[in-house]
Amino acid sequence: MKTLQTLLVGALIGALVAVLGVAAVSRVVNPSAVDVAHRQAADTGYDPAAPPPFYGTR
Amino acid sequence: MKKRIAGAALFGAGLFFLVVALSLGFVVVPLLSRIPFDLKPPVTAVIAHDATFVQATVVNDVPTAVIGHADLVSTTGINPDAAAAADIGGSMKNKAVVWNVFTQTRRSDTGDVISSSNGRIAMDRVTGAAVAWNGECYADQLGQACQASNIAYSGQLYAFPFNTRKTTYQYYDITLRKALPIEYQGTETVKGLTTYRFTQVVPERQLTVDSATLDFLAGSLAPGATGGSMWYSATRTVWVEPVTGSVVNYAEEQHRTLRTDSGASVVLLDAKFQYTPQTLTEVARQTSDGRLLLVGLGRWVPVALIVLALAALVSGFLLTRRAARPVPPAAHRADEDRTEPAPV
Repeated sequence: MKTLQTLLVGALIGALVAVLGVAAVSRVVNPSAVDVAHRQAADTGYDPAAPPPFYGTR
Repeated sequence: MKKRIAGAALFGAGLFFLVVALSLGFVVVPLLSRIPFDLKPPVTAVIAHDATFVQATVVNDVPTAVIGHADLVSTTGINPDAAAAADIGGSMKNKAVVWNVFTQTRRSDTGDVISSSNGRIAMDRVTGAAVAWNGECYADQLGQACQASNIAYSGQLYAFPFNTRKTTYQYYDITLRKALPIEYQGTETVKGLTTYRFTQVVPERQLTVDSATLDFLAGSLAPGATGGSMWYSATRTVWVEPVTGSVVNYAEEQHRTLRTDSGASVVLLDAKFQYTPQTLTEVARQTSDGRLLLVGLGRWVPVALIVLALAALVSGFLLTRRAARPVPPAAHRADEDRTEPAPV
């Protein structure tokens, strides 16, 4: 009985840490469009409407 | 007591590895199998050797069109627009990326610009297919603004689905403004990557062109003609890396003819475009990196973690059970009865 309780505690802690870790990783690898837009806005050198350098005038 | 704690820790670590392994396969990799909002694809260039094309020019202060023969290089650059993507709501909220696409075609001998276009497209992050969005636009005429909703993209154009299948997809033809079937033809290796080859054949058909343009072309290119009709055909082949859905190689044969009212037929465009060697190398390199990440995290790392998890679970279980087992009384008696050796 004591063996089972000990294993159960270990299993719960292991699973909990894993779930929290995966949730954190998921947020990092899949940011929302708003989050990415804010990050892009902070980068003052980036203008998505600006043509690339090769795109000259006609 | 220490053994019991160590056993429980090992068992917990085993379960940790197991949950992480399953999560990688069923949660993390599916989340990674989406086009990032800020993904900036490499600038791509296609070249058509010894192409025939129409070039607008000015002769004696009069705008005219002439037929040119030279290599053509068409370059495409893409700017991701996360702010525009953030504005897409409803069922596609956070499920679509927006790309601003700039393309310019030049003759390689003189550097003269033959054509330019820019567009804006929203694409499903998983399937790569265009999604209905009122911000889409396309402009390829001199001075024309990219006005929202002047085009309705559909089907694949710049990307294929993650985990592309050996089937027929719809591929958007920008000239016809509609998607047509592109069929799976076979599996080929490109730069060390396994790819699916798809081909789209557009049979010759008449294009809808405004009469002013037709009259201008006919008057410039076929003396005696005052008008006519424009005809178009194309064959496209794309090589798609199936895990990432990336187009790692591209070839296109395009043909346009002006059939004038005087009976003359003028070839307006006859070109076979294909990726330049530099583009092929760069796209294959980036695709290879993406494939390695998805296959590694979705297959190899989980397998290694499951092996580790099983070892830790079994070790933890055995250690905990051994620690909980009572010490046999006989052992105590043996210790108690043990006699010390007599000093010499």
